[in-house]
Amino acid sequence: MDDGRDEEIFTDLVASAVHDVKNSLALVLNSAEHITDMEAVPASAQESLLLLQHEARRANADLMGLLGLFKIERGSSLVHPAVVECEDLIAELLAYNSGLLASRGIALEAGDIQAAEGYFDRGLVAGVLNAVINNTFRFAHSRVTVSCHLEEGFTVFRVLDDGEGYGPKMLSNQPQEPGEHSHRSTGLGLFFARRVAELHQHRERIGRVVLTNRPGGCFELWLP
Amino acid sequence: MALNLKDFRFLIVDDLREMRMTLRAMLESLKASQFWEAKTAEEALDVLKSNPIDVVLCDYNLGDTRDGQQIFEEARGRGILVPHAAWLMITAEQSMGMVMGVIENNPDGYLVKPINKAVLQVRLERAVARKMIVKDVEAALRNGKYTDAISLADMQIQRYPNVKGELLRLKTEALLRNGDSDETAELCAGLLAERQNAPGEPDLPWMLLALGRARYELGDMRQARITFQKIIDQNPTVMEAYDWLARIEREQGNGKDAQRIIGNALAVSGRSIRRQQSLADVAIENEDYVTAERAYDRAVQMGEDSVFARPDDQLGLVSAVRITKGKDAALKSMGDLVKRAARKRNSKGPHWRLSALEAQMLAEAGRKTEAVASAERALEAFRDDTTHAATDGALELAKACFATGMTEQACLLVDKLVRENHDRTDVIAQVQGMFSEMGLGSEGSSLIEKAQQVIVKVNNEGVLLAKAGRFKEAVAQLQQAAEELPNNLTVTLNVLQALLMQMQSEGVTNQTRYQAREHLARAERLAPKSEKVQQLKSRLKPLIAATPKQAST
Repeated sequence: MDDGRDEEIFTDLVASAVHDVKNSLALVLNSAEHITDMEAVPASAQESLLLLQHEARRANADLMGLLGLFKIERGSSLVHPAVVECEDLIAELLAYNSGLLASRGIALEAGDIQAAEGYFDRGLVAGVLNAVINNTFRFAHSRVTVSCHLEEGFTVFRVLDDGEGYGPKMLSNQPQEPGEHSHRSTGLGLFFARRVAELHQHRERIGRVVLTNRPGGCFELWLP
Repeated sequence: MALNLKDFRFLIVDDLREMRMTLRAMLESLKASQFWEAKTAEEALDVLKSNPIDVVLCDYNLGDTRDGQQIFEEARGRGILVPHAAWLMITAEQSMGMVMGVIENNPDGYLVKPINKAVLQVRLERAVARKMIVKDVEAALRNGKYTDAISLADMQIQRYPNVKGELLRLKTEALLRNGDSDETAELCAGLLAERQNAPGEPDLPWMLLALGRARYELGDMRQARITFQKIIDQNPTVMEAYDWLARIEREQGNGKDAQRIIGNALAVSGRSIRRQQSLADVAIENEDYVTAERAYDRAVQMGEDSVFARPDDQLGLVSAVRITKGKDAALKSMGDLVKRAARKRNSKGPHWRLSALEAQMLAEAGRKTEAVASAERALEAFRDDTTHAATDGALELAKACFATGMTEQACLLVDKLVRENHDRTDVIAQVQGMFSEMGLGSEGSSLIEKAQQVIVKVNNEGVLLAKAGRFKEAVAQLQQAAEELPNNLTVTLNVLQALLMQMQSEGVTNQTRYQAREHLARAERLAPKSEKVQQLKSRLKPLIAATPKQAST
């Protein structure tokens, strides 16, 4: 009895703490965006603001990943699929990330959009893709393309950059030990992306994440 | 594409001042200039009541007793949203942990924090543009103009094929409410089959839901059950599927199953007042008073200031407490409810049914003076209440009057009740039962008989006149009876029958058409599932549907 109640209190605490941090991050991000939009911001400050935005977004993505995994662990239902218009989703991804990438001289573009509609959890998929796109901030040289394809009956979202590509460990598609990653990545993002993909199932087909180098990094989220 | 936001009226609902400020600053940088802000559900509803807001940006998790979804449903329920108002829900979590309504209760979009200016702009433009396309269909649906809704939806599907999914969803809802179950089933089955050919795209919950409802309306309970269960298996957050499944089990006499299903639904989403109400109702039928008490209590609490509150919840709570904890506890809980009702904003005091029960309980406890005061309060509120379809309630009120010695008023109430329901054996039995309990069985019988005979006479005379071809007189005579007894189904059906005969032999006039519509609507309200009503409806339909369009608006 008491154990159950403690669990419940713990879950509630985690949930409300996450909400709180989330709200803080949203305010940090909005304030940073607000200052960036101002005129007469010194160039040196601009650079710091960009970093601030990028890092706050990273922190937000990590937080969402942690919360998502926490929920999966607790067995609460995480995936709420619905019909999503792919073009609409990609427009939103571009709107969210273009400004930040552009300030680094990276053009974020929509590529081919073959699927009109998909059936998946929009919020989760957007979260995964936003995290991936945000990461290209550090790896891409000048161009990132987001596209959506129909392959083998899957809806495939692809984020392609023109950087150096993924390291061999990442490409091996093996679960990584914490700390093994280069670029000070914990592997949480990829781990969470894989879980999100796997939670999307339909008629014995399971979603997956595919990483390749073409030659820049190519992240694909396959949704059944 | 760029939207001129200058003329838009925005309402920002968030409990955090910083969030409201940030959103406002973003909107201002997008050239918006008219803002209202609210911290709580109550404030939000107040703003909506007195201002034609175009776009609502509402935080889902308000730290209030009500969440964003409830504010949205409440605003819709009260009809205080302008038809084109777009509602965007802002959530902190990526996954829609909230529970999805399928047809009616969907806001126009979700925004996940953190939101930046560019995303806000994209979503606003989309939501406003979509709303413009669907608003007329939605409005027709809400106003009960189902055939209009269907044709408007068809028209918009032609013009805006990219919004086809949403328009089809609204169309099936209109078809269902219009009673076109066969067509709905066919349409949905076709749409589902189409999706099976498209690789990897599963059944959409709304299609299955509409299909299930059509099968239910067609009386195919087995298939309806399978369909609703399939939705839950595929998509446990589609709450309407539980509601329908529970309804079927309840109607089929499987009360225990119904209660279990509603319990499962509440485990997914416990904040729905209507679901708490149905759990309580079904628990009472199952004689599970502990569950009923808890559910009624929650419903009462959620019902504060809600359009979905029912007096039944308060009465049910007191009755359940009486069984679980005894008379004294019930009186105390009654006292709390009455006090709370008086404290409420714009209070009209406790509902008359609550006062009636209070009077009976006080009389039973020997607190005579207080009992009389409650009974008088109940009678007064009863007279002011124009909404009641007085069956159960009137009987309780009569009991309260008898219990407090107000015999004359009690007999008047009973007389009216019997005349309203002169051929409903269940009601007559209840009335007879009340008299027998008081040891006045024979007095009761004669009172009932007298009241019944008055109606039988009016009905017979009307029918005779009609048979003699004197339709106009028949209609007039029966209609007068119907005016006096607006809740008597048989009288209403006789009016319709006479009108039908009149229209068939003398042709349709604006007046007869209007009268037929009025009485048909009344009959459907009194007995939504009656076969007689449906038969009459299908015979009347071609006569009263031959209307020029403007007459229906």
